[in-house]
Amino acid sequence: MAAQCQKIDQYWAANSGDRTKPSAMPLARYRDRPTPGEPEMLRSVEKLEGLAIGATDGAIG
Amino acid sequence: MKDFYFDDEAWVIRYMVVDSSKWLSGRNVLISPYSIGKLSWDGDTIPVTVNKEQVKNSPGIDSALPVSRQYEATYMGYYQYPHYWGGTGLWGDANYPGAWRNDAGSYPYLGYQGYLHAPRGDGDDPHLRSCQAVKGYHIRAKDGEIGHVQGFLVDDASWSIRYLIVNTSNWWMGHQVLVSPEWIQDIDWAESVVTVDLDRQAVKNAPVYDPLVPFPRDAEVSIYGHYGRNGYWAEPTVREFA
Repeated sequence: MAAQCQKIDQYWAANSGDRTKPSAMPLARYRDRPTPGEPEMLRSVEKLEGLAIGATDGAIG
Repeated sequence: MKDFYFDDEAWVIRYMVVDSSKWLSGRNVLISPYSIGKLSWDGDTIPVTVNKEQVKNSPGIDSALPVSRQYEATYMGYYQYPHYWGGTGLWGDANYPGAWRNDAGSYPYLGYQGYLHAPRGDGDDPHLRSCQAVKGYHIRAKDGEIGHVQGFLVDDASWSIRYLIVNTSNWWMGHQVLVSPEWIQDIDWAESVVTVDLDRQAVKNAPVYDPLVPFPRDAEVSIYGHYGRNGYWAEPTVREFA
């Protein structure tokens, strides 16, 4: 986590624009599930809707 | 569980709408992926890192009304979650909602919220849509109708919607096929029509999706390969938020 925070600090130190303006927003990059053969991670919304929601002290719905 | 609200710009699930009427009279509550723990494949519960008292006292929601950005700010403040809409990633400056969570399930690095609060640049519209409402939308290819939205496939790490499940109805014997949100050209919300950048013949020849058969990455490779598109996993995807 500390390394992550440091990276963000470094990013904003190097990109010190006005963040409230869209033009100052960097492109959002993301990369997930980078390689074929990873375990299945996709779930259907329909199946998720059938699951209960468990709070730390009991079901909430 | 009653519904999911997704962000129609980033195609990410932002909230679960939970029917809590059994213990909170007549109330629906929103649960953010920020509070969702690790899901198991054989479990029948989605574990969340909040307790019942917190949920009971959380800001009320009227599911008949759109969720406003103001409501979201109140909600995030109540749970002490970072704002997802003010950063460089899908979730603030991260790509996963749990990226900032510590082992206790809380977000101790709120000092960083100072720059997570900046709006993405599109005012107060959170662009939230109901999955239930979008189910049934007509899907139109470049050269005609191909079916309707039957459901969605979601990545439970980033909570991105990776595919729309399309039911081809009478046009192609009711086969189900998958369409990535990346291939959507336009959505007419008023007319409930999704237009995709594909042609009918390509859809007809596409791999059929069977919800009863496991859907590994290899199957995704086949689908993207069939349409001649680069997979979202192949190279870092660049999304520019307006």
